[in-house]
Amino acid sequence: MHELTYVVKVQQPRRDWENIYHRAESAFEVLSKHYSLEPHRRGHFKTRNCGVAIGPGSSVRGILYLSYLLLSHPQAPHLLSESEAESEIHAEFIREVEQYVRHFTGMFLPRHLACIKFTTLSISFSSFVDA
Amino acid sequence: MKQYTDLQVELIAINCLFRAAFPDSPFCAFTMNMGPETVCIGHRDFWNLVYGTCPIGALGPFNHRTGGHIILHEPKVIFEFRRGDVMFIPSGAVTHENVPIAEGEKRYSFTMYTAGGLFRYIWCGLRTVKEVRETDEDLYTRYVAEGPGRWEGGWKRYSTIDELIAQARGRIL
Repeated sequence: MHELTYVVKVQQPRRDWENIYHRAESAFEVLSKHYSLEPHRRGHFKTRNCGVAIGPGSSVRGILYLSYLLLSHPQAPHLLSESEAESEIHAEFIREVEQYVRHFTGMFLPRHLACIKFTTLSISFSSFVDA
Repeated sequence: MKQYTDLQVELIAINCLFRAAFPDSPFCAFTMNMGPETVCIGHRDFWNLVYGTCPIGALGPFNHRTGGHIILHEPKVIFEFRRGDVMFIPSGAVTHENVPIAEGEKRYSFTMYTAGGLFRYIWCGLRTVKEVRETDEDLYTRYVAEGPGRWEGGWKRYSTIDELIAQARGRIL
């Protein structure tokens, strides 16, 4: 009980959760029509990242290019690349899943979520290379 | 999570467009895995902060008894992961994958994360580690020397089961 817990599975909320995640599933269904299957290192399914990134592995979103240039060097943090059309599609997706995502972030708000299952991992500090 | 929200404040100070896509979220980025059969092969998300946590949620009509299970390699754990379930794991440190789902079933997943490079950028005074290594020997030496402390300190930020239960009940131990 005194060991640190690295993995937590969160209890599904009782009220309305089914409706909330069904709405998120519909948003995924709509979004997936805009993308095609491409193999990648995690498997063979459609995938897309959004948000702030850093480094040469991701490109800069078009409309933010000017602000990007204003930053002092080329590997500064930036928004992940997306076309204007994609930007609209993603904005719609975000609107549709907002309530669903609150379940991911709710535990960081004053009212914490209940947790029903815990898994403790024994991780040796020497097992990994410091990032 | 304070480290995550502090980072967001720093990033917004650099560029006000770096606000989180989801207002309540301490994470800087998210991944939409649209399937139709989102089944991951074993991997670590090595761009993430290595001791950082990452929420993962599963969606879609699939039988969680026969597929879609989460496999965590280092702790040697396999568990059912239902439609609508959410879990938090240090996905940069723990190799994870899924059990395949049946043909014709659909599975989506949604994850949130913050790139480790963003933290390093702040720790290095708004420069990349590479830039610091090439231009500021003192800072680079200090950055490297502080590495083990960041590593151990990062893992110590996790809670015990007692603390999690207490938090879930709305109080702090």
